[in-house]
Amino acid sequence: MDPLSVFTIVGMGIVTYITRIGGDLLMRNRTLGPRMTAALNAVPPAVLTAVIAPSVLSVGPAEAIAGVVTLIAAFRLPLLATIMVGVASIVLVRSLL
Amino acid sequence: MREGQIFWREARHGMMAIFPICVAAIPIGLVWGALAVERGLSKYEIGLMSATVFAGASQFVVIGLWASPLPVIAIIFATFMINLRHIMMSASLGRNMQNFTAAQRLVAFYGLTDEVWALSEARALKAPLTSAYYAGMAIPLFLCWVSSTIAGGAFGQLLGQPEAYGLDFVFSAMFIGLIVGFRSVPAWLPVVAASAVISVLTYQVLPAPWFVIAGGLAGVCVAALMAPRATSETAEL
Repeated sequence: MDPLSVFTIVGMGIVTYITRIGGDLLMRNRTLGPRMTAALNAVPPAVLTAVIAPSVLSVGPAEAIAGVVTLIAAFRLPLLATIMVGVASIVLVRSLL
Repeated sequence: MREGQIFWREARHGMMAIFPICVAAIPIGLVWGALAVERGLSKYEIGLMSATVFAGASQFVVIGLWASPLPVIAIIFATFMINLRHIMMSASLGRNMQNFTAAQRLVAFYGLTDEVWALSEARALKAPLTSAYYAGMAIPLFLCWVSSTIAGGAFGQLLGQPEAYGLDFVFSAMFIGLIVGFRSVPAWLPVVAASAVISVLTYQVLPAPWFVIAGGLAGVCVAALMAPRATSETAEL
């Protein structure tokens, strides 16, 4: 292994661990008002949406269409079936476009 | 004996919850490993990165930056920015870890991924989160991710074009499923809509990591602004 690569990878690991423990260290033993509680409860859907939105909506029509199909499926199906619908729909839409 | 039985029951439930994520992680890991080898990482470096960083989104972005000479600072900074979202996650999840010892917390946060965290929060809505349940999710996913990325590095060229089988969309589809799993959160639709719009707009104007931060904050702010109305609605029900 290249020493500089190892240094870079370990550095990535350290900063990532800081982000993983940081929120808990900052917020521990604090009582939260209703707004802060609502904000923290919204973190899961907000952050997951922010990570994925550009790769579904900004790449092309095929990804956007398959994204809508997957979204509808997600309301009715368990997670693994939703993923399978997503993969099947992107393959289908790409073959049609 | 009874405590041991409870431990294994909790661990088993955690494993059942993470099973679909593990299945989805394998093709994502294979694709990432194949990309990493193309960019010049060795199998050992792939395994080291998956085991120390263990965060798919940032690993995909960093592979795009990997070049010779290596932009060390840019790579570490990009990793930090993309993974800053974990601060919001650990602040939120920490509230549900009252049953964890201090040492268990330190280890548990090492294994905090989008998926483990999403399922932990979902579990905490129904029953208290235990360390056994958490370990039952985090350990199998860790082993799946590390081994599938190494396998992708070793055999990835056999995959050919991942787009042909829709494998590049597994990550998106998995996230869509997880997002919909949170639809019981108050103001879910405005939160998701605000995050999506701001994330996409930021993606057009600023470099890679910022859309995650801006989009995430937008959704969280919408939830905070709508909070009083949301709580009174719940009270009426």
